[in-house]
Amino acid sequence: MRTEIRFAGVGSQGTVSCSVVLAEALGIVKDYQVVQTQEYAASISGGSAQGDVAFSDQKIIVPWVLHPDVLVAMAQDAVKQHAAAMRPGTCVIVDDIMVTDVSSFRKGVAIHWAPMTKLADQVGFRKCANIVALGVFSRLTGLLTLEEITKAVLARAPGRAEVNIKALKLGYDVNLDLVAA
Amino acid sequence: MNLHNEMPATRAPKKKPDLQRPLDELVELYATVPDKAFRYCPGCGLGMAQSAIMRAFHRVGVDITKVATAGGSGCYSVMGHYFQSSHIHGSHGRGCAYATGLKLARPELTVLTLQGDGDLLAIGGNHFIHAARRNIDITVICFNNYNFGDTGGQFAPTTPLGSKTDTSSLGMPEPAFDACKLAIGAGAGFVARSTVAHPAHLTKMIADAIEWKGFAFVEVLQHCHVLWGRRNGMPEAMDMMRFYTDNSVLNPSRIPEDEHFDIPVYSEDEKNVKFVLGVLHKERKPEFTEEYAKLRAKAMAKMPGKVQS
Amino acid sequence: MTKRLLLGNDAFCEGLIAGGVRFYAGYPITPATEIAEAMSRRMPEVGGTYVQMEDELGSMAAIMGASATGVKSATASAGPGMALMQNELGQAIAAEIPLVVVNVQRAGPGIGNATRSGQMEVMQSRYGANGEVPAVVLAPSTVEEAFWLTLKAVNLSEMLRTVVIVLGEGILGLQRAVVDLPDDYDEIEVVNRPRPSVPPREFLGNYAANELSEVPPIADFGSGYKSIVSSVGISRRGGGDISILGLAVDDQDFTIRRLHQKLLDRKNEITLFEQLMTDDAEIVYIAFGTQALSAIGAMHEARARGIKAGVLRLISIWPFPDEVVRACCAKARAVVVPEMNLGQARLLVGNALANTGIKIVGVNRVDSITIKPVEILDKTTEVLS
Repeated sequence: MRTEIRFAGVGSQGTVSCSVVLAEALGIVKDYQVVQTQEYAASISGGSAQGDVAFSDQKIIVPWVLHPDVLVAMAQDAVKQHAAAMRPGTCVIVDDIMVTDVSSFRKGVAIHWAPMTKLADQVGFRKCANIVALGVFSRLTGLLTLEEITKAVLARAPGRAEVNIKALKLGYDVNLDLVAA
Repeated sequence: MNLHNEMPATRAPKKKPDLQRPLDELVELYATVPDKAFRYCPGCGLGMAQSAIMRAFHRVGVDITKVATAGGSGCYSVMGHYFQSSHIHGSHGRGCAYATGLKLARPELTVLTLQGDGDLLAIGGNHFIHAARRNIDITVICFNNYNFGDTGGQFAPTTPLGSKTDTSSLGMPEPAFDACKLAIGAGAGFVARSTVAHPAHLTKMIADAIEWKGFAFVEVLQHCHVLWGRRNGMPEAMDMMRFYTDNSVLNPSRIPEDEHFDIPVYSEDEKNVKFVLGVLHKERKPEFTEEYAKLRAKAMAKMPGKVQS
Repeated sequence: MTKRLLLGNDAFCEGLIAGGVRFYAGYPITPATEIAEAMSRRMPEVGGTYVQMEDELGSMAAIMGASATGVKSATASAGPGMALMQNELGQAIAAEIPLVVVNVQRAGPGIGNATRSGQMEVMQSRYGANGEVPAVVLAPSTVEEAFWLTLKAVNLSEMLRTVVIVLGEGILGLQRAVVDLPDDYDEIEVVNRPRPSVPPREFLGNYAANELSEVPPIADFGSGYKSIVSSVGISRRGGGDISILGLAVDDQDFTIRRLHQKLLDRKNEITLFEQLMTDDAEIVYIAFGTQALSAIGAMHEARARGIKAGVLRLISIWPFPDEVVRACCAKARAVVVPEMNLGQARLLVGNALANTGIKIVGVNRVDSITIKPVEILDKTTEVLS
């Protein structure tokens, strides 16, 4: 079955990197068929940015993501841009300080608020909020174990391993039910 | 015209062994004589420049099959065909970029560009300054005839202020480039100027440039009496030869390495143009292909067993 | 073979390296920059050379110089960079210097939209340079194909002594996919250009040919032969001479016709395509590059709805495979050509299907948003009703 994931935010939040790590985890660690695509504005930092992953147990024909099954939104602009693409029954993870308004999503879209930026600040490095997001995503979707996603992070981003492992674990251990309540 | 009567060997000054050698013999060693006629206008300075280049080859002792030349469009563009060396006759202005590829791919080759002033300094200016900046071991020879000859004599970046051409019939309104100063500014390690009216000197300058490890530039003042000369009171080849000999100042001293000549390389007062001839600049600096070879060796050492040739 | 997650632009690089390219000159331009970045690391690793030139004119000229010495050479660019390269591109095709140029197409005219993707250079690839030069153009659809097709491009360029353009797209260059590529490129068979078999004294030059279909041998600079590389003025009768009036008219005629004929006579070796369910197809989707994938998606949907749809995916675009188009549309009532431009491939398809009565329509986008299968289906319903 084909599943589509989108990480969206503003440039320099690391959403494209998120999609690359996830593609590595699903394609190399888990042996799915994977295509990762990306789109970003001309300004490297600050413009809109998104990283998409489509994966399946069969050959992927159309590579680009049309209607994400999961959206990870790291900024309010990302919500504004991608809310319309989300169909009922899909799932959204939003950053609980970077995103404030989710009224644009259709009814039936499950919204999970996650403290990704907050936990990154707790690690002492706000730029690893994307790694926290990968932890949150892995746990929530049940697609990847902590070991599997850690393997992919280390393969794709060998620098700052200690910080990343810490961030991943914090993200993985977030109890989203509690946050939602 | 042909090379044989352009500069008979008997007229060559004595005590200069390479100039005493009969031209026939040099032609046999280095040139390819065309079936029909040389494409230069009668009396053109390009034939003299070509003789000087052949003499310089001989003086340096190059293996002509290991020489590669490159050039673009212009009167000079056929010259590369008249040597026994390999040649890229490419598009207008790209000589230095072709040469960069040639030298980087095969550093063992002796690489020269043969370019006109319009080709090198107008359309090819960007490639020229960047080749100089890289200090790649090529020799750039610029045949400066003050105008675009091949298209019928329009002004070039080198046309002297006030002089007349097809597109400056009321006098050239723009100041000219001093090609040597430009080369020095861009980082050339060896910069020299000579004229076709000083054949022995020109030969020496070109030979020194070929031998120089790094980017070398020789500006060859080469008359175009047919177009520029005719419009500026010098309608015969000899008028322009006299113009060069009368207005040239030989660089009085041999300049030591890593210094450059401190009198102006090109001076103009209200009436007279003065050409300072000789080596105007010498500066040793790291050569690009050698530096790249070091970088490559480092990169290859990191990839043992992964190298495909 | 090892599975790895590979960037499209890196796949172009690895294809070039596997094909034996050891010289790369480039100039940074989005969305092709990753190719220059990867080549700056990979070239010295494999014993080759990377040079960053002052502009795209310089890149093309430098690789022409390098290739003249016998070293396989390549460059990559996009948008306005490709426009600048046309000068040297025509020069190299006419001078018959083997080269590969990867065009990672961006969107729009002028400086265009750097980070966005398009398919707007189908015609430029063929007609961009002055003076009636031919073109060989290959367009990959996936990351894996980008590798194999770029490798093929190197081989074709050597075999044909011409420039081969790999027509990529931003959306492909900046895409990652899991691919299975060979670990050892040494085991891949590569093609080398024809080199002279006669001693230097008997060599008649790089353009000596008697037949229009000939690809004459070319001598490497510095190999002991007098090798003249030029786009004009070289007589096929040899001698390396340039006459006072340039080429004789019959020589000019012969030379220009030969540049085309040498490709046309080898069209079978150049032409690549994929045909899916075209045998009984009433409607055929003809597409290339990434948009062909949407066409395949649409075909499966259409078949599920009982519409006899088929796909012809053009992998080589130039020389344009007219016969293949005709054969695949034998039973077709209509053809839909989805592409991210305003109908460049449609024009070619129309030419191939002239006087067949088959209706030809396009699905065209120039907003850089990829064509969705549903848009092709909507058009299908429209033309069949």
